[in-house]
Amino acid sequence: MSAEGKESSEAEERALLRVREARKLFGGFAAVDGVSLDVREGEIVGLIGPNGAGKTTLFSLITLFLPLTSGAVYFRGQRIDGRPPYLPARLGLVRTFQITRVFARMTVLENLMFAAPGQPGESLAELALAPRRVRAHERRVRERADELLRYFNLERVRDQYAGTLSGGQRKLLEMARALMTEPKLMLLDEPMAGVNPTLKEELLGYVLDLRRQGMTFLVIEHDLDMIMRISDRVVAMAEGRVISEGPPEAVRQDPAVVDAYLGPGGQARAAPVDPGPPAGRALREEGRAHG
Amino acid sequence: MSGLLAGLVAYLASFLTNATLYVLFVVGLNLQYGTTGLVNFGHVAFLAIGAYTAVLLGVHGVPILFATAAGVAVSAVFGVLLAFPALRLRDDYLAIVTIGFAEVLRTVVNNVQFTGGPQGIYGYAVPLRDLGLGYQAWQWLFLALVVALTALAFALTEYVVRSPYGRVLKAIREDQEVAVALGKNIVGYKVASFALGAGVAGLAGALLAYYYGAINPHNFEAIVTFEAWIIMVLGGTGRNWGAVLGALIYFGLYSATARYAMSGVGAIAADRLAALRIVAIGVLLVVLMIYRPQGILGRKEDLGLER
Repeated sequence: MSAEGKESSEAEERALLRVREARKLFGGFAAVDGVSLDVREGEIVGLIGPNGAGKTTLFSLITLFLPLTSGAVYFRGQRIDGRPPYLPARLGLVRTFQITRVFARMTVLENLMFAAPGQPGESLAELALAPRRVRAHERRVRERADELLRYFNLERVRDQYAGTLSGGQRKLLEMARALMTEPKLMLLDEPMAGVNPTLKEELLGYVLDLRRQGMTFLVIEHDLDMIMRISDRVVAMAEGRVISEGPPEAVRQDPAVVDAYLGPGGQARAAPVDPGPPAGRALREEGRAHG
Repeated sequence: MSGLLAGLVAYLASFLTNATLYVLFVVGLNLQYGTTGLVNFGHVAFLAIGAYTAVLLGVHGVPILFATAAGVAVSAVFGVLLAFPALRLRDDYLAIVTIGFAEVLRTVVNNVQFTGGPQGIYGYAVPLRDLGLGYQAWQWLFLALVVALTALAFALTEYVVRSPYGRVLKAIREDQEVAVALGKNIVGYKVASFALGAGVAGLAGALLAYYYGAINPHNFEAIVTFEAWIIMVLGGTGRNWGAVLGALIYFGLYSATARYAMSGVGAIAADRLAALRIVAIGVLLVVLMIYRPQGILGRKEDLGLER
């Protein structure tokens, strides 16, 4: 690890997240096959690629949900792979899920309060010996949760079971809940999947607003137009590898990306003038099939 | 006439004691399943461990208070041991492991010497019995003790369930992967939940042993676990007050079909009556599932929202 430290350039030092040669084998199949990527503080990085490209698997590797076969993951300069899966969130790295996963039989408020870090009331000893400290902390956590409920316009459903919420409200709740962990970097897995256009704009507004407040994002998204609008940088994957990386427009027009989406023949059909729209359409259709 | 009244009063004491002991027993199960979502089909094992530990230590001269505390502790330790499969197994397999554990334990108790084998143990010392009171006065005094301890366990679990600690347990029940993704180390919580529930059951077991005055392996058959599940489901899973209501209804029904109460119906043989009881309880459950599937005190949303 010290050798790695010496090699790393200054740009890498500033990177919040560094993934190095990440590989994940399922049996003989390499779902993620030597992926390296950096996410720097304050950036929004888009992660695109056709179904089966390994994007969600990569998310699971970064958040330690799955063990790496080989490679390394660094977060804020610290190597985290091989550590327990609850660690990333404690360091400030939190993810949301492709299909929203709220705690259905807990209230919206409970969903949020649960996610707050460092709660003394989560220890039986503290509950028994320092009930006043627990109550005081609980009050602060509730205030923070109420703040986020206002921000995300969820005050009306505060005391409802999260399972009664609409799909859109669940997306917002999941984002609010992730924010309760006080993250530095949020990994959003298809935040726009199955979301109506109005809510899409709303979610986009939240992501941009949070970025203005200093948040960093790595976003998997099938909606290419959306990813082009929000990303500073785009990483494209196919068959477990990074096939293109750079400014959104450049990646979009990269023949390798067009190939990956449409197949080699697709490029001949769609490419020279404007590869964007057909690829976009293919992506949207795929997104529907996915959702 | 006064004899009949005395009989009724004694019967009432026994009814309330049995019902309260089951409330205590179910409070433990409710923490494990209702709050944390751990399927425990071997809850009776912890009842047995609490009962045998307390009685055996008492027989060997340990003061009752410490023997009882040891019954709770040993049950909790077995809860920790059984929690380890709970960390790895899916619901259905955990159900199999727990029911298997309870049956194995009962078979062992039935076949080793120091537990008294199938004859069990009897004639041991019992709390408050040496005060020189008559049996009936003791019954009521003992009931008061059982109620007090049950209220204590009830209040403590309620406090825990409503605390941030309980929030983690509920999140484990709802989606443990997400709980981990949000930074919680859930291992300790699952073990603790299982152990606490087992400890509460152990206390119920020790008190049950004192109340019966004799224990043997037949007291700890699998049906006892399922009675606890019935009471929990009747009252509403995850609600401790539901356990109170469920126990009263269950034992109410049990009593209503008892020999004395049914004596007017005609000459029904005791064995048929026993079968009739099961039928009555089955009918009650079916009716409940039709009209109030979430249990009497359950929230309707609880049902539709299970994953």
